Amino acid sequence: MLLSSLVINGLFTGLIYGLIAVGLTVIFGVMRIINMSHGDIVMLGMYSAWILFEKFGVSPYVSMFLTAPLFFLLGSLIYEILDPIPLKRREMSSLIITLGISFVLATSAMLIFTADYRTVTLPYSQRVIDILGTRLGYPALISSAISLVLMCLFRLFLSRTHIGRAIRATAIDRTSAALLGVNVKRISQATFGAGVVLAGLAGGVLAPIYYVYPFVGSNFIIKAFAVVVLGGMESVTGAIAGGLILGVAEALGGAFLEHSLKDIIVFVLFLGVLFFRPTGLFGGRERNR
Amino acid sequence: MKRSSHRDLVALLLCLGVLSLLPAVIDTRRMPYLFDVLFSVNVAVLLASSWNILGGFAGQVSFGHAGFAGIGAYAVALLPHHLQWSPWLSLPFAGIAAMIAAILVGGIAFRLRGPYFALSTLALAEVARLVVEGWRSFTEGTQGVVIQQKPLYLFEADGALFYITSLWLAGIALLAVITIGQSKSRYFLHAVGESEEAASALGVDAWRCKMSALLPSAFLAGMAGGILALHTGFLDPESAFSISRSVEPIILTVVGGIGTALGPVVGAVILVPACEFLRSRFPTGHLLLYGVLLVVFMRFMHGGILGMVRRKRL
Repeated sequence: MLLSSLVINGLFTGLIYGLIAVGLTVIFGVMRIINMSHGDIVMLGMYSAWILFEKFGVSPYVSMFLTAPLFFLLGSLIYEILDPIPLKRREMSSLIITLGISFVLATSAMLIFTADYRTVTLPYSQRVIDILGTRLGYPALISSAISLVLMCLFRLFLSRTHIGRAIRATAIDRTSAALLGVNVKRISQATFGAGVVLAGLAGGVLAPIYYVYPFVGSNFIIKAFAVVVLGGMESVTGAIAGGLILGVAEALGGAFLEHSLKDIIVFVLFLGVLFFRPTGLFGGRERNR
Repeated sequence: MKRSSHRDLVALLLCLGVLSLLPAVIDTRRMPYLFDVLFSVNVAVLLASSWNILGGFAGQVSFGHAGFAGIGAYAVALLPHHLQWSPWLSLPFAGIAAMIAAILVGGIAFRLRGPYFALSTLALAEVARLVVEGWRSFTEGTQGVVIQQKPLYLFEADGALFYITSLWLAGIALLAVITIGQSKSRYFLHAVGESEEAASALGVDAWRCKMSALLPSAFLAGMAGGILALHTGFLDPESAFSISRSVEPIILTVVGGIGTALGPVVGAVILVPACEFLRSRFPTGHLLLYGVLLVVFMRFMHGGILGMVRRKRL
C-alpha cells in the first residue's frame, strides 16, 4: 500500500479515536477522575445504535443523537456514586469504582445481548469513495466527519458558552471557581454527563464500522488512554491531535511491522509519553498549575 | 510489638499445620472438586496478599499483576520445555522471573504517581503479553505450551500435593505481609503512599521504599501464576495474562479490607467459593457480582469486611 494512503487511512481512524478520548479528557480535566468504564459506555452506544437500527431501521448517525439524553442521565448517575467520596482519596477510589462499573456494564450486556458479534449494515456500507488515490468506505468517511464536527462543536461549547467557561474554570481551580460563584458540584456533574454523552456518541459513530460485542470496550479504553496522554490530559485540541497521531502510527505500524507487534505500538506510545513527558506532548503549560 | 509478632507467627504456623492435615482426613480422590476449590482459595489468598503489599501497604494501586503472574507461569512452563527440567523444580523460578520483570517495571512505572502508575502497570502487563505472543520461537506464541505433569519425587501430582503447596505458598505470603506490617518500613510505605513529596522531604527514599514493596509483591504474584500453570497443565498468553488475574486480587482485597494482613484472606475465603458456585449457574454471573462488590465496597465500606467488624467492636 502507498504511504500516502496509509497516512490518510490513519488520519480518518484517528478522528474517531479522538472522539472516544475527548469524553475521557474532559472528565479527567475537571475532576481528576480516570473513568475506567469509558470504553464500556462506548459499547453501550454501539448497542443502542444497533438495536434502534435492527428494530426501527433508524440510521446510527441519527439515533446517536436521540439516545444522547439517556447517556447524560447515565453519566450524572455515575457521578452521584463518586461525588460523596472525600477529595483526598477520590482519585484512587474512583479508579477502582469505575473499574467495577465497567464490569457491571460489560457483563450486563453479555447477559442481555449474548456474546454474539453484531454488525450494522447500512444501505451504502459497500460504497467507496476515492480520496487522493485512497479508497475509503462511505461509513468510515461519514463517521470520521461527524467525529470531527462533534469535537469542534464541543470545543466551541467550552470556549463560547457560559457553562463551558464554568467547566474550564473548574478544571483550572475548583476553589477559585467556587468563590467566583460557580456551582462546582453541578458543573462537575454536567461535565461527567457530557463526557459520557461523548462516549455514547462515539459508540454511535463506531457501530457502522466495527463489530458490536459486550467486551468491545476493552479495545478502546487503552487507545483512549493513549490518546489522552498524548494530547496532554486536559485539552480538546490535544485529544484531536493525539487521536490523529495514534491513528497514523497504527496504520504505519500495521504496514511495516509484523502482525503480532502491531498492537504494541499503542502501548509503547502510551508508556513512552508518560515516561518522557508526563504532561503530554502538548501539555507543557499545565506543569505550573 | 515484638510479642504480638510472635503470637501472629505462632497462630499462622498453627493454622497452616492444621490445614495441612486436611488431605489426611478427607480423601482427595473422593472429593476432587472440594480440593480444586480449596486450591483456588489458596492461590487467591497468595495473589491478593501479593497485591495488598503494593496496593494496600505502599498505596501503589497496580492494574498489572496479571503481568507478573503470567511471567511466572511462563517461567514454569518454559524451563521444562527447553531444558527438560522437572516442572515442580522450576516453580521457584516463577517468582524470580517475575522479580526480574519487576525491576524493569519499577524503573518505568515508579516515575509515575497514583492513577498514572495504575494505568502504566496495565499497559506494561499488556506489553508482556504481546511480547510472549510475538516471540514464537521461544514461547510457542498463541499455540500455547503443555506442561508435563510429573510427580515430585515420591509425591504424586494429585489434588493433595497442589493443595498443600498452594497452602504453604499462601502462608509465605501472609508471613511476608505480617513481617512488613510489623516492621518500621510499614510507616515509610504508608507515608510514601499518602504523599510522596512529604515523605521525600522528611528523608524517606521513596523509590527504594516502593521497590521494597514491589519486589516481594512481584515474587509472590509470579509464584501464584506458576502454581496455577502447573495445576492447569497448559498455558497460552490469553489465559496466562488474563486481565481477571489483575482485577481479582483487587476485588478480594477491597472486599476483605485493604491494607490489612487478613483482608485478602477474608475476601478470598468468602468470595472464591461464592464465585465458583455462581460460575456453575451462569457463566458470567461472577463478573457481575465482582463489579457490584467493587462499587459498593469502595463507595460505602471503604475498610472492607474487616473494617466493618472492627468499627462494631469499638
